[in-house]
Amino acid sequence: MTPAEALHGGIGQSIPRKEDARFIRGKGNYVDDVDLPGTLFLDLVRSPYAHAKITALRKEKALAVPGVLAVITGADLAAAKLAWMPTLMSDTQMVLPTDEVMFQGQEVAGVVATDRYAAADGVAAVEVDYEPLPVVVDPFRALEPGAPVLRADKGKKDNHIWHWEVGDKAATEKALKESAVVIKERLYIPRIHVSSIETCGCVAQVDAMGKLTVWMTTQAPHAIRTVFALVSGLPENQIRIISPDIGGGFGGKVPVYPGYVIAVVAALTTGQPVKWVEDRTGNLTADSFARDYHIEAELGATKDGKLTALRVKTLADHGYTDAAANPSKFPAGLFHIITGSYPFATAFVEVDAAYTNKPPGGIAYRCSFRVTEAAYTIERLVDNMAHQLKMDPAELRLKNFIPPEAFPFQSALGWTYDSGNYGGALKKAMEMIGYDALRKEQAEKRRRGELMGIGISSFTEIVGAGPAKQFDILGLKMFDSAEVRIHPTGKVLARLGTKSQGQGHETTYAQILAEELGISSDYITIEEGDTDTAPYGLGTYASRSTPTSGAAAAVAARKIRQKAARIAAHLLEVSPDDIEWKDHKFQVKGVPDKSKTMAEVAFAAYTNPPEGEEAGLEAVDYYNPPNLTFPFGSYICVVDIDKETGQVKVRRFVAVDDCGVIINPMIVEGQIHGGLTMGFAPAMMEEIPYDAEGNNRAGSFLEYLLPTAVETPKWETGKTTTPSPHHPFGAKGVGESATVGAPAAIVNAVLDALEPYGVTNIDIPLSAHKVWKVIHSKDAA
Amino acid sequence: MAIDAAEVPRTPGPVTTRTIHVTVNGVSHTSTVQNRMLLVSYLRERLRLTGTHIGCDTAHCGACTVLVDGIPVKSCNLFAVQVDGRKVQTVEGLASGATLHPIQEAFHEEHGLQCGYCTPGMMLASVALLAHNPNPTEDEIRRGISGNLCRCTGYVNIVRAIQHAAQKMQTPAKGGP
Amino acid sequence: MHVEGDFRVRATAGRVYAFFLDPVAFTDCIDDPHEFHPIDADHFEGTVTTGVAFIRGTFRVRGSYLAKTPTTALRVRLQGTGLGSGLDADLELALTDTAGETSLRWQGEVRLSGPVATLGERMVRGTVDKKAAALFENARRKLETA
Repeated sequence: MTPAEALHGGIGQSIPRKEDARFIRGKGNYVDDVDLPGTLFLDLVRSPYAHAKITALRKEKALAVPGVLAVITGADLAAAKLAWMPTLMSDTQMVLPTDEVMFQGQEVAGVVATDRYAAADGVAAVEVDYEPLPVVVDPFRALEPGAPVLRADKGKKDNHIWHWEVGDKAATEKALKESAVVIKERLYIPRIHVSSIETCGCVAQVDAMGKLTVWMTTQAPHAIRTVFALVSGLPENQIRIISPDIGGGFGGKVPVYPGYVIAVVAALTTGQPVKWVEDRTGNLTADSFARDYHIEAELGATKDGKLTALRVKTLADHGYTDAAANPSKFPAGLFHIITGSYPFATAFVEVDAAYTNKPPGGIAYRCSFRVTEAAYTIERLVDNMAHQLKMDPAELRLKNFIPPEAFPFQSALGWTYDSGNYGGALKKAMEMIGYDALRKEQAEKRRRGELMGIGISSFTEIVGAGPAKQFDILGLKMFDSAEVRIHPTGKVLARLGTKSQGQGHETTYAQILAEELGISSDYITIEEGDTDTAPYGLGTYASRSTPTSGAAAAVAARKIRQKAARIAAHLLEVSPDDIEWKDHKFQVKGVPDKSKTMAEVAFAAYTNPPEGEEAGLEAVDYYNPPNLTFPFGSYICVVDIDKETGQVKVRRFVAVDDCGVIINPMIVEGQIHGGLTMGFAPAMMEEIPYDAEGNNRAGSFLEYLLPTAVETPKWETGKTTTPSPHHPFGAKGVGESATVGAPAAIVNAVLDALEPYGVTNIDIPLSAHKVWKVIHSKDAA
Repeated sequence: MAIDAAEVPRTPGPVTTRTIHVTVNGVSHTSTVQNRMLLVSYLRERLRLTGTHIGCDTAHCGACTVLVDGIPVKSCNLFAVQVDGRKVQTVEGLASGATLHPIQEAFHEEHGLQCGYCTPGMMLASVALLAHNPNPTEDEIRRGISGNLCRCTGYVNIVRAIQHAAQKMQTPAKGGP
Repeated sequence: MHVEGDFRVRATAGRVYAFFLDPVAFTDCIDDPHEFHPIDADHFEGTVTTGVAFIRGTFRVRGSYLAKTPTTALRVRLQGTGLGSGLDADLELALTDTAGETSLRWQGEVRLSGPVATLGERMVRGTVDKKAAALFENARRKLETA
């Protein structure tokens, strides 16, 4: 066995996860498990009205409830100038209202009590009088003249938040005019909610030294610390944010929610630790939503199926404040990845945003800043174009893909795609699913009047934000970090600026370091999420951990190797120039049996460093990626539809992903399975609708339907590998690709099945009722 | 027998209480609880068995699943007083000492968990399924865990883990190879 | 949400009218735990502890008589908050006396907001129908036995 083979847990190995040890024993440490002596519990009074004036708020009866210690109101916060807080998009959001409530479920007051039952009693006893005001639900009507102005507090005269556009408007207009075929589609991507199984919460504690520690369900602890410091005026060294184990994030645990702030205020005022854990209804009615894009898209092509131009106009419903979690310069996120896998000569995209009486947000739902909206639009339109041209949708795609030799590729809307082989992925998916045979089967079934459909989605993702020159959040540049320390016995402690929410960082980062340091991953401990110990980082979302902190880990390890090589030279009594790193150890060039392992070097670094060399063996890297990474894939879905009921059954779903070099194939496959399920969910089941009064009609899991094991298709996965040329070891990021790519494949399959009925769109989720209506109305006609 | 330290309810007032005798993971407890205290609160806050999680409060997500006399129940929709005189098993009672239960080994080996939040409930639902049906088909497994939501895994590896555990649990019964 | 119904009671319209003009008397027909008291001739308030599906708690309700036409018609407005929800109801009662027996027809609009409303009409309607039926059945029994 060579030393290279002996290395356990290097890159490319499907080793089981380290973090499982505590989770399978029920010994995870989630926020609600944090148990400090004397902890009080915070519960929230929420608004039943979508828009109302608060005419009175009486605390007395609540304060008389046994166990209730305090009731915190907007007026109390206003006295401390904390009734409002900034959002990540530099808008303003209420912590607690002083005059008006703006959406149903909004936090109205906080009740602090000795336990959660007493706190709930207190919430029921707070008396609030409301005077209902006109409700703005529809974003189109919100922009009509005469609509009630929701944000007069900001000096607004209407409900328009911002306009954003990119691309060449005139050239796109001209190209569409000159195109032989132009199709136009309106697509609504409804409001959905990430609904991680753990809701949001925190425990806030102020110690005798005046230091504030907050255990918090946050995907970005460092950024939260800085925001808390800026908003509260507390010195940043007196604030410690700890992200313990997190029960799923998916973007929902990026924003700062009022409950966190109220818990901190409660801890400061009572002097005792205060825990707040929201219930599911609070989570679904008040936490940041995702999507809610009303899209109108036009796609042009030549008669023989060469795509010419793309024009997209979108209205974004942001609720009562723009609290999207986007990089500052990109109010519509990375929506301009919408040209997808195709080399458009020109394209134009514009987005307008509106205020409505709904909860704020615009977060990701397991996707990198509005990338799902983009991928869904282009992949739906391309399929519709294929039907329009009577071409096979696979053929149309293969004819138009950006060819492998064109990378790095400059897109019409300004991105530089790092690498890709789109045809390779689609052909592999077609082969895996038996595409030609399925098309034959479909033709036979169609003759018999049976409804079977095949849908494709060949998406391009954009992840790993990002180059600091383009990407920041509230001015904080989107680099990320790793600090690696090797102990004298050759064991490693590494701390990173990101924060796992189930992605398996404790295992995969250890594998990166194992590969780069030649130390078994069993001896590498990974820590994240404690701002007192981890280096500053922007956190985990948008599939950025491997592209940024993963890269930082590799670069930090290589920095260590530079010093270690000098120590190895000293031990081997040769010049550092004669040392090479090979087979995971330091060798004298050309003399493989004269070598030193990293463990031997580490021991020397503390016991026998060379003259003039500092003791110790550690390095820090703040990695600023030179570009984003562009994972891609091709998905094919086969559906059968029951004509009598409209029920859609996903018979097969093949997903071929290319995320560059893979660190742990088992974990990557798991990420894809989960991502596919969160692509299936909004395509088929999930939506948060609002009625005319602004009532949230999906405020519990009774109405907001998450897929169970029964509805979820049996996923089949495959891969191709096209390394990123600029990432230190060629990786790209994968956590969200499947969520981005899957919905269009499913919807395309359903519309393919329904082609005899001449429909070009059904808005998601594709309930049996919506599908049945299509079949029924056309049959009747 | 472990006597519960927090015998006196923390909230005084007109809330009624009752004394219950429950065996949890083989240890008997005598506790005075508010009548309205949910079983999940009793397990988490009184007995400090925090492996049982709360996800929805409405019996939909199954994160709080525990076994009562071997039957899977959602402990967020049961009062503690309803388990008076019964045996409760939580995730903390799956392993015997350092030896993991086959379902725990299988979830680890097949990557049947990611964030870990649904995992305890999912494993207990699986244990109950396998006790009832030691050799389930894939569709039977999927139906068997349909009361438990997982947002991370897409269920593929959970199904594999349960199949793997079923094999592990049958091997010794057959007397080994 | 539109609600309506009717019932017959062996009592004169005058008695039925007087019964529904006494908020303590008619709210006493609510099956759930409750406490109501008059504020003045046209207004009353109180609490009722009730629930829909998994949402349970106490509603604080204020009532006002909007129109009173002795022995033939009453209009009542109920406004409440509780269970984190809001309730606004305008109800009309029409009474017809036929030989000492009264037929009472009631109808109105109920507007719900908050978690109760999120449950959707199919859940809420069942509860509202059941509770309304119980209330009028209790009222009939009281009027006929008194």
